[in-house]
Amino acid sequence: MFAQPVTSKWVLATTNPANLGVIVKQIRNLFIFLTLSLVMSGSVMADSVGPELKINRANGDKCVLPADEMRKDHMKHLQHQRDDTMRDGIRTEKFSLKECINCHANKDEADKYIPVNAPGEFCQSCHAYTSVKLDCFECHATKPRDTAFHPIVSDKMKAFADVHDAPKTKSMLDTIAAKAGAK
Amino acid sequence: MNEQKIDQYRRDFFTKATATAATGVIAPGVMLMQVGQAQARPLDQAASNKNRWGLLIDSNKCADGCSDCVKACESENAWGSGSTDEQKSDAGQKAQWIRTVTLKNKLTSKEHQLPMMCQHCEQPPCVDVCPTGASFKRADGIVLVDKHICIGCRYCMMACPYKARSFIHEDLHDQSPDVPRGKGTVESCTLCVHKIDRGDGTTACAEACTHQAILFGDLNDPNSTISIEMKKHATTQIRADLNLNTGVRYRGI
Repeated sequence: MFAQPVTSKWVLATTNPANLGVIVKQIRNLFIFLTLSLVMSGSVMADSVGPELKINRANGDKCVLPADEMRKDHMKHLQHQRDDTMRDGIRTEKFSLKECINCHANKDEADKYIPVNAPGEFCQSCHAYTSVKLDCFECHATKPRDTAFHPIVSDKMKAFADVHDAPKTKSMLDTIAAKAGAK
Repeated sequence: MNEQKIDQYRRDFFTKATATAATGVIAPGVMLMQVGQAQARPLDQAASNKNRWGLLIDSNKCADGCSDCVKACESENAWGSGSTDEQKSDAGQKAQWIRTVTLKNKLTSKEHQLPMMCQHCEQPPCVDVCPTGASFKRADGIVLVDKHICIGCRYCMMACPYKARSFIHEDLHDQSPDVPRGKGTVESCTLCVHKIDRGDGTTACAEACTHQAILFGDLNDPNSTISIEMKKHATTQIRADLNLNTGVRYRGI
């Protein structure tokens, strides 16, 4: 004689006619769920999943890759670039973390940069949502900085700029660029 | 669009700057230091062993009490006075990429000072002892720490005969984008590798030394100023007995 092997709740239920009503209910619920999720999927776009990102469109409208690729693979590209830069000194801009931050750091009302790993900022908002720890910024800078020159050097540069009538500050560069853009 | 225009403007500006620098004098009393001695390498090309970057330090020219090179290094690489971090660490724990050392001749009592930093050895003991491969020498002779894989064991600090490395003891927040540094890793002079890679052709310390005591250049290029100077004058390696073939050479000690 063989005892029927109990493989799942379903098998157990089918062996007992008293449970038939429960099964019908469960199947009905499954149908409702599937139908609902089919209807919903049309309206749920990828962009509305996850936190709303603060993106500064003034810095340009496109990332180095389409957004869905960046969402999935940004770490692969960063890690590849990291070894190239560290070991071989290859400093191309496309997948450079420094360039990510140059573009994605936002400014507050006082026109000062907010760290990209601050709550609600570009990097942190997704990483908090997915609860993935963000290690980059234990070492890497979280906001852009104009290249700092030692005062001794910058004095010489200023003297040079005076002679050659060159713009001395970033705001002057911006003004020139704005004028060129207007034309 | 605007970004591109700015970049174009900057490019033009620096092209002009380099061209003018070659002539030396740009205004009465204003001398530009030699720029562009090192040819800028394309961004996507790896550093190669065709170059070996090094420094020649003339301790006779190094002025007593002057620490311009140290300050320049601090502000360029955002450590010490160049950063708001490391407030909790004591003097012995704080970062030290470059320091001034005073030597005294016991017979004559003559004192003189010189800057001391990572000597960028050809046979670096710090690389030999590193258990993870974090301490490494780049193809162009620059000795660096890959902080991504440094575990902070500090063997390299013990192995270094020049006491050139330091360890970061606390969380940092005020780094320079070009110079990542963080708690739990060892660091030292990078020979301003980010400046070399972008073709500045100099280091912050060499740039800032008003006494022209520090000369940066390519030891592999027989026509570079540093090679010519080293052919003309007697130079020394510190602890030459260790046969490390240092990339930083001294005159006048």
